[in-house]
Amino acid sequence: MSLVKLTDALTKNKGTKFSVPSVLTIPHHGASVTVSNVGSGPSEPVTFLNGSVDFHLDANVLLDLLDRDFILPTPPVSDKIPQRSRSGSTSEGPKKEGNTLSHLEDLKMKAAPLIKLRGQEGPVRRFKVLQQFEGKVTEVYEDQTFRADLIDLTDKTSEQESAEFPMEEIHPSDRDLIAPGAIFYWIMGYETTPSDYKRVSEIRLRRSPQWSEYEIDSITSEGKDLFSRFTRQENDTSSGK
Amino acid sequence: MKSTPSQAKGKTSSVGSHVRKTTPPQANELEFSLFGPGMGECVVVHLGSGEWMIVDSCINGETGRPIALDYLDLIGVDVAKQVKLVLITHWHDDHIRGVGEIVREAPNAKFGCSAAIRNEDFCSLVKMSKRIKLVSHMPGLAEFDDVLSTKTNGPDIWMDESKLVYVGGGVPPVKVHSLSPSAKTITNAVGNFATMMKGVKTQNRQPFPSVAPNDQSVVLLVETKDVHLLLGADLEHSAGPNTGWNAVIACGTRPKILSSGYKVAHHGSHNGDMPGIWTQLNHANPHALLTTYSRGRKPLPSDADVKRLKSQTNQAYCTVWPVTQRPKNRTPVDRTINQVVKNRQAVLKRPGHIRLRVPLAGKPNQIVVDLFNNAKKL
Repeated sequence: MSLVKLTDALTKNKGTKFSVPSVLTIPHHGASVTVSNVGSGPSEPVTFLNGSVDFHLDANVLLDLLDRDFILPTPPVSDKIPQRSRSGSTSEGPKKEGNTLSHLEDLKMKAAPLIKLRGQEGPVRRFKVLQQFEGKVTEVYEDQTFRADLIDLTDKTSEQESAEFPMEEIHPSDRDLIAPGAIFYWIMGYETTPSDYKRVSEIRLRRSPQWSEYEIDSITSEGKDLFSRFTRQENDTSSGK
Repeated sequence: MKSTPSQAKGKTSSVGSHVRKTTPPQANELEFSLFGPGMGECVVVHLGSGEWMIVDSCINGETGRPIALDYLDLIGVDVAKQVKLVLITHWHDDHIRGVGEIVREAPNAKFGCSAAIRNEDFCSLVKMSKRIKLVSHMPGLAEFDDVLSTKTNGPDIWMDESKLVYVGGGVPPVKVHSLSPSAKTITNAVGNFATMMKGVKTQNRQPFPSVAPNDQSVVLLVETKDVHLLLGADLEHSAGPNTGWNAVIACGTRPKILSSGYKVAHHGSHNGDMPGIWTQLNHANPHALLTTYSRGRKPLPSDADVKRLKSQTNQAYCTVWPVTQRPKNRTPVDRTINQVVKNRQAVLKRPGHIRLRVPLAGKPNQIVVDLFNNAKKL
């Protein structure tokens, strides 16, 4: 099964909360992909099985992909993953492995982030989540602290908060990313392993790639189109001047 | 139920709170309502004859809806027919939340915003914000894009320092004027947005912080026969003569009338205040209404701000008091949260509400003040 077809299934199920196990059925093909494991927070990986091949996605990436209709590119390595072909026609039928892409899809793939293969990051962690916040940095102070707005993801009826965080709560490699507008996820709960059960509090910065050249061009084009709608004659029927 | 007029003293009604809150204004009555939960604000004005104006928007945390819509529903206003104007003073997150929903529910209303954002780079920033998907936060600019899904040709009104925005249908008609931004501010905005777009090419994708100067903010003047309202939004004073409050005061084409009701600019901050606002734009001892800003190390208004405000008027009201509110207890993680963070501040779910009402042909000393939820007199 091609990755293009897998993503078709994902986009059709966007917004769905995957429970474990869940099965996504690829329309028109009858093939299935099993969601075998879902992390407990937005930064935890979602794992998919495709026959003998399994791969996982960082959930932040998945959120981005599902909302933007991007097509997953071929992972960089592993001959177990079907290679896409770049001929002009679209493949049909469940048995046809090679997928073909339109020019537009090809452009989209260049802009899409990469998939991480399982095994590169070790076993998936399991949490019993007590509290999750989505945070947005609003101010960064000189004394190595920052302030952020916090939205309660565990209880949507709960009030919004704002709080100050010490920079030392952030992983050193992420500290340069703390700037107004930066997004992070704060998860509190119990981490469970076969041999351990401990209380944890983790802050994970949402790492997003830079805008690609294609995206900048696309956004600029959309901006021009929007602005052109603004240049009509102003409706001054209420003006007496 | 109004008490007998007195000398420029705010009066409160003696009727029960719930009845007062749900009773709509009379057709010949001006109403000025200010809502604020500690972050964000919304102004709702009855312009007479059942016509309403909404300025800025924030969310009622209890319902998830824009507070303006909840309030107008409460008092029996037909939003679809009676809301005539929806205006946004500037595009900061705390002033724009829910405005897309308001515009959808008020299809007969004209939508207006600052002429400073009538700019191609700003349009690109709006489109960029729309592509940023968060679990719960919504970028403020994406809210603007939501408006444009209804107003497909863009805003109906671009407001600047010399615009007569609206003339109401009553007799005498209520007029709404915009007093800013100045031409110089609009020119500066072009450069600001161009700089932001350039910066985007080297940044990771994330919501834009609200860093644009507040001098792009729109100040509004509601003019009636004798009682006028000055809505100061978040405008700050600046060093130059042609931007900020200096420009508003110096503008030769603004109506030279003094207001009796003033929505205090920028949460009562020192940056949003200057003597000329009180001496050249307002009557002595006006009703001054402000919202708090409870986010940050220096919540607004500070003690010094309150002292300065009270030196200008003894009729100052605040939508939330005290300024900072402690968040609710979140067992069983409160201990963990408090070990990590400090200076926790809550944004109240239910905004405080200050309301002024006065007959359209009335005098300033006939203004009746009502305070709801957490609103207090300073």
